[in-house]
Formats: sequence, structure tokens, C-alpha cells
Amino acid sequence: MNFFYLPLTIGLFVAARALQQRLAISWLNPVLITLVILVAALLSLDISFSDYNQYSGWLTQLLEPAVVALGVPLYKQLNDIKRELPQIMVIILLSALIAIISTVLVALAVGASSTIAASLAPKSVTTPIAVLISDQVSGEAALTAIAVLFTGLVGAVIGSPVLKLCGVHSTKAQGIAMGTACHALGTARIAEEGHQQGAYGALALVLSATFSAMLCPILVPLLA
Amino acid sequence: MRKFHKSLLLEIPSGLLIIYAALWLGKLLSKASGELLPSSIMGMLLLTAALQLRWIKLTWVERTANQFVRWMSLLFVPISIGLVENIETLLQALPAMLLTCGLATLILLVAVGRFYQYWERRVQLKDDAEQHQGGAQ
Repeated sequence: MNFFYLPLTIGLFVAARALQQRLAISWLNPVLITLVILVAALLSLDISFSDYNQYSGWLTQLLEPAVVALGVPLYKQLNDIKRELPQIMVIILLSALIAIISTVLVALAVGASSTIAASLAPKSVTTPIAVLISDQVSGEAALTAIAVLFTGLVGAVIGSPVLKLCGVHSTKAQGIAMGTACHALGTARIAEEGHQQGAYGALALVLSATFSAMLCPILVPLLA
Repeated sequence: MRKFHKSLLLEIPSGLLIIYAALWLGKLLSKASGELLPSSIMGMLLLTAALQLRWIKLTWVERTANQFVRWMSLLFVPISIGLVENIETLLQALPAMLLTCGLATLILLVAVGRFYQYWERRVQLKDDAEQHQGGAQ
């Protein structure tokens, strides 16, 4: 049974993606469908998640090379990007600023402790950097990792339809928004729609992570 | 058909080799720089730089990279399953989590998207106007 986890995961994802493409409904996200079915199966069959992860863990190991592979769409759009870089940097710097301040203030407003607020502050940043930032601002790394994942899932599942619904039709803008607000998971999702989205997402991912790493240690102690 | 197989046989291994080499160098660079950026992102920037500097050809790595990007979402499934395992930690901070990671993220997403789009259109209008002026003279 154990060896089935990996083919089951891949099979479900492929089927869910085919279904989404056939029905052309962007809300029907393959990651979400796969997750729901897998979680239901694991819970009903009483299989522990660590058991599952032991056999499907190598998918996770492919994440790092997949992020490296984003270098190709980034290179293809480099001429456009070079021209726009100063403006893109300003937009993403402001976004990182807003992301951190809004997160900490909203968290504190709903009664979260300052530790929780600090842990959530780097939620839009890619996990390895978010965990480092969290540690620096005395947050809880585990909570940060969960918040990052949750943020990414929200973006991957409903980010693209929400963007379109709100009139963001520029492919570059979609990439920048996803990379800034929803890190690698959002970028992976939006890169499926085209090279341009992938390239701008990858760029936004790098810049927002860098800016957040610089801003968080200054802003979080002031706010929380 | 034969040509397709031949090129695929060469391109996938060469692509994997280049991507993993970039990742490995990224690891070294990340460590050397005191983890300024994670190794995967360092590797991504190295790959972009190597392509731009013509150290490697796009065809050597393009097909493999496209496949990685195409299947990247799938790679997040096992980690996301782990989210359910940590459901207690999630529930403990649920209101803050829902509002900041859910609602605030969506608002940020749309704000950044609209803002970039607005700026992009303004630049385009300005370019068009300049071109138009140039053409009229």
C-alpha cells in the first residue's frame, strides 16, 4: 500500500488537472482537489501523514530544482524586465512594506499575541527565508511555516480567479502580484498560464523575499 | 519522430545536469553569503546569469525547465498535506491566520496587480503619445 502513495498523488493531480482543463473552471484547482481527496483518504483509512510523506517526500525534494528552473522564463523576459526594473523594485518594496504592516496590525487587532503576530509577519515570503525572518523577530518558526503554506494555498487556489475578477488582466501584473503576495506556490500556479507570468512571478518572489528580510527586523519590533 | 527522440534523449539529461549544477553552486553561494538568499533562489539567479552571459545555450536547458515549471504545483502537494498534520497549531492562531493569510493576502494580491497594471498602462500611453508626436513631425 505504501508504494501507492506516490503514484496515487501524481495520478490524482493529473486527473484533476485534466478535469479542470476540460471544464475550464479556474476555481477547480488541481492542488486543492488532490489535497481534499488525499486528506479524506488518509483520514478514513487511518494512515498517518508522516507515513504518507515518507513515500511521497521525493516530490518535495524536486521543489528546489523547480525553483532553479524558473531561471529560464526569467531569462527569456530579461530584456523587458531590465527596462522596468526600477519601477518594479519600487512597487515590490512598497508591497513588502504594506504586507508586513497590515499582517502585524490585523493579527494584533484580532487578539493574537505579539509572538503570533511576529510569526505571521513574513507570511508572503518563500519558506526558507520566512523561517529565518521569523527567528530574527522572535516568532515561532513552525507557525511561520504553516502561515506561509496557508498563504500560498489561498493564492494558488483562488488567486488567479480573484485577480481576473478584479480586473487585473495584464500578464505581467498577474505574475508580479502572485510572486509578491503568494511566493513560490502562487508563482507555480500563475506560471502555468504563461511564460511571462512565470518570469515576473519569479522576479517578484526574489525581490519581495529580499526586501522583507531587510524590513521585517526593523518594522516588527516597532509594531508588535 | 526519430529526431524528436534523439533531441529529447540529449536535452533532458543536459537540462537536469545544468539545473542541479546551478542548484549546487547556489548552495555554495548561499552558504558563503551567510544565507542571504536560499540556495534554490541563488541557483535560479545563477541559471539566469549563465544564460544571459551565453555560458550555456537555452536549448540545453529549456525543455527540462519547462517541465519543472509545468509540474511545480504538484510538488507542493506533500508539504500541503503536512498542513493538516499541524492542524492544531493552525487552529490555535485561526482568526489571525484566516484574516491575515487569507483576506489580507487577497487584498494585497489585487492591490499589487492593479497598481502594476496602472503603471504599465501609463507608461504605454506615454510611449504611444511620444511615438505619435514623433510620427507627426
